[in-house]
Amino acid sequence: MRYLKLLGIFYKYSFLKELEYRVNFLSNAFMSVFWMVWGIVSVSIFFLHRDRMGDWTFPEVLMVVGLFTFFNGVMESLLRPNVGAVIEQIRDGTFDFVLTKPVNAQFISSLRNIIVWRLVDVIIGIGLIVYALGQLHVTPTTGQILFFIGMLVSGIIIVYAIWLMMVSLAFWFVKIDNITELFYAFYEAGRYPITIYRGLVRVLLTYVVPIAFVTTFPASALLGRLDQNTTVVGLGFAIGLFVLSNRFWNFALRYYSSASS
Amino acid sequence: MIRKYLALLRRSIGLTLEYRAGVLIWMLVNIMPLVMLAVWYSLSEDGPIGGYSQNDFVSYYLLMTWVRQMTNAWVIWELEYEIRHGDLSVKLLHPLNPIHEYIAAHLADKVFRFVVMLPLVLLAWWLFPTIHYEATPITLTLMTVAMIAAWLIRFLVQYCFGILAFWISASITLNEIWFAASMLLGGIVAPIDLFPVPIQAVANYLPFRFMLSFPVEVVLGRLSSTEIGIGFAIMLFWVVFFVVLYRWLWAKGVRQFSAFGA
Amino acid sequence: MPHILVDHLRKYYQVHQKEPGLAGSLKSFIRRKYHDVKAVDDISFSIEPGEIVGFLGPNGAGKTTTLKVLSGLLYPTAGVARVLGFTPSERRAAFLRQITLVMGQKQQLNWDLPAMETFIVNAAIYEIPDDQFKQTLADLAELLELGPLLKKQVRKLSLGERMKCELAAALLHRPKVLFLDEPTIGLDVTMQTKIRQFVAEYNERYGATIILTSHYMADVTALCKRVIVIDHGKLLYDGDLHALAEKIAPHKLIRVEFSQALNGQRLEDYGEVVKRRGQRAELLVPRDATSDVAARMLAQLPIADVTIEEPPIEEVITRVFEQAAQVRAERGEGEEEAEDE
Repeated sequence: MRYLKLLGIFYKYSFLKELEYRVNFLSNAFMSVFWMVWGIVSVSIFFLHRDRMGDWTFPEVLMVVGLFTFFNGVMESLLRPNVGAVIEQIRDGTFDFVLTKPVNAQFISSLRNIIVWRLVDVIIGIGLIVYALGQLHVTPTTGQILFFIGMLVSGIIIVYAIWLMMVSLAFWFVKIDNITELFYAFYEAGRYPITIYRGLVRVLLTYVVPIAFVTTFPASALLGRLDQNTTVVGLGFAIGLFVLSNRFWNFALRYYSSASS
Repeated sequence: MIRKYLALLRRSIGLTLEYRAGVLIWMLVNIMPLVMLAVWYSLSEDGPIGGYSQNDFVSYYLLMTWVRQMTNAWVIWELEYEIRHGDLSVKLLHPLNPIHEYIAAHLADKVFRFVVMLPLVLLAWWLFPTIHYEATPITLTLMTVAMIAAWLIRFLVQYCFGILAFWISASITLNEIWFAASMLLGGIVAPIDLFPVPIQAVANYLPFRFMLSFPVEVVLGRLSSTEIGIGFAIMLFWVVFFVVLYRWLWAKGVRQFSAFGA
Repeated sequence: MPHILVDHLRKYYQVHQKEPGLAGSLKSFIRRKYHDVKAVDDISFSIEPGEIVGFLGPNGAGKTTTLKVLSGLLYPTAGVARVLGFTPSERRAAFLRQITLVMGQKQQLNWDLPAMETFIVNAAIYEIPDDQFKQTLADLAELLELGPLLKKQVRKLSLGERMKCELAAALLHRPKVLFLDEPTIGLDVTMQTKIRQFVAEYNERYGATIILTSHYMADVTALCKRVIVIDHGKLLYDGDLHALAEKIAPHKLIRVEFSQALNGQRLEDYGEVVKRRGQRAELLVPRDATSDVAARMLAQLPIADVTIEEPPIEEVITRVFEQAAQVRAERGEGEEEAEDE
């Protein structure tokens, strides 16, 4: 309960900070819409020449675009601001203040900052998914919606876990703070349904950098292409990754406390 | 001036080597052309698209990866940061236009990237024996010239957006929009040939093409000599345009800076 | 020909106001309110070659703004500024090659490389001939005790070491005019003394003209015969430091230590009692009466130890500002400070 209250306070101050920069607010909202439109346009180019990508039709691919935007919003608003903050704190030595606070360090480091206006991505992403379902004249069953939510949740957990591991790396490699950019580069592949990739690439994107779980599988769930087993595997995988990332984070903290200069 | 550049280059190379791990990661981040290749490769499985066979796509995108790496610019982030934090004052006290320091840093980075890319290029050549280019000494020279121009345009455009930071706080956002446009109209998401014809007609004249696609087109063998000639003329226009724009903006920007300081 | 000439210089800024809290944030979001800040408000002075002049003033007084105008970083709203015959805001290469501005908070040395690397680049940028570069570097290394520091990464140097290297980098081109903005800030006492010695020696050896701003009076008393006092953008005093002390604080300080408790005598009879604790006391006494009062005290009071001192310069300067603040209050002017001085 206390943690929820803390979250509330953190987010209120982030919001106030953002109001200071009125242009930022406008440009953030604009850029959210802009990038989603860009995503739709780039997918349209494929459909100029083919009427399917893999076995996905245009509205179905739009759902993937919507999910891509949704998770982009989650990352840009909730996760990315904190990675930068932690790296800076490690660099100028103020991370020690985080460790001395009577609050779990992982909680405070990974969730403290929020860029409110990037949540627009989350909203318009869902909007696009709903629109695409309308175009398909498909109404998902309750079961499919449940699988969808399950995959969505596991997607969020997976993304969070990956970001936590990247933050942990900062304790060793303060100079390569651009490692988060590397994640984004791989994430770009998630703009399109994973099934169109072949062989090694598909394996990479499903198990190594599990983008498949994030953007493709929730869409599959809504389209009735996902079975119960995959959903369970997905959730299990997410939880496993979360535990792993938490262990890694603690490992990194131990290294940091023993090596502080 | 040469003495100054040599000194700046020497320092920049030192810095690039210091940050080599970071630079390597930036190079890896440049993965989008390969993602697009995977998509088009699978889409063209059952037949060519717009005159591009699977093999053509491989040829196109491998070369595009090379061009994109070698024409890369990042000056806007540094310039915008220095303007916003007032660090530019220090550079303005020196009797040398700050742009030269940034250019030297980019040159050093290019040298580094070239050295790293070279073995990868050879590897690609070996892995994909079927890729095909019109690689004559003439086309290769033309491609090199086009790549230098491409880098100039990318650098100057970013620099101009950076200069806007003297007045507004949305420079980075504007640059992002430009970047998005160049991914589309510069031939990364798809070769310009695959756009609807009316859009192609416009895209052929826009600066985005000359930032990325044109150097690839020159060697790909789909342009006639006349088309290459016209392309060069348009390219030259854009280079001159952005040089003029930069000079005008910079003079105004410094004036603005010295009105308010930092 | 004076090296530095400033005539009726004015520099005004526009700054936007914001009230604190959520309501204030939203209001300022919708409509910005601006007002004028007079950072420099009609200042005139001239400085001859080879002088070391101290700028004194509280934060926001206009000292740094004046230095920035003189170095070309800011252009004047009105009035004239000339350095070495040039108009600084034109930022001609010939001008920039002969001046230097050292700002305590901003550094030109690259963090990740040894200082020597930046020196080499500067040598090229300032077009310093090789032999002159070697000579100057040797001189500076000797004066500043740079030796082993030059090959270490700047990131790994202590604050004092970094400041020394910054100074060296700023002086490689043997500028004729030096603007030093808080050069000793954050340094320990030993380092401050070393820097002071260095500035004095540099001035002697190269005959450079120096303007120095500092919060540490010790810097100013050690180096500057002449001071210019600036407050709220206005010039309050321009002249000899000690003359200022005598004019503003026509008192001396007598410190006494008593050998036993006083026998009903009142200290107030001798002068203004500033401090009194146990067996010790401090009194302010008019200058011309000092010897008389001291003699009387020695004769009439049980004194174990006595010293006669000039009042601390800090107090003198503080009094100057207090007087100026009074004048402003009487005139009904607002309390506006420039954001960065």
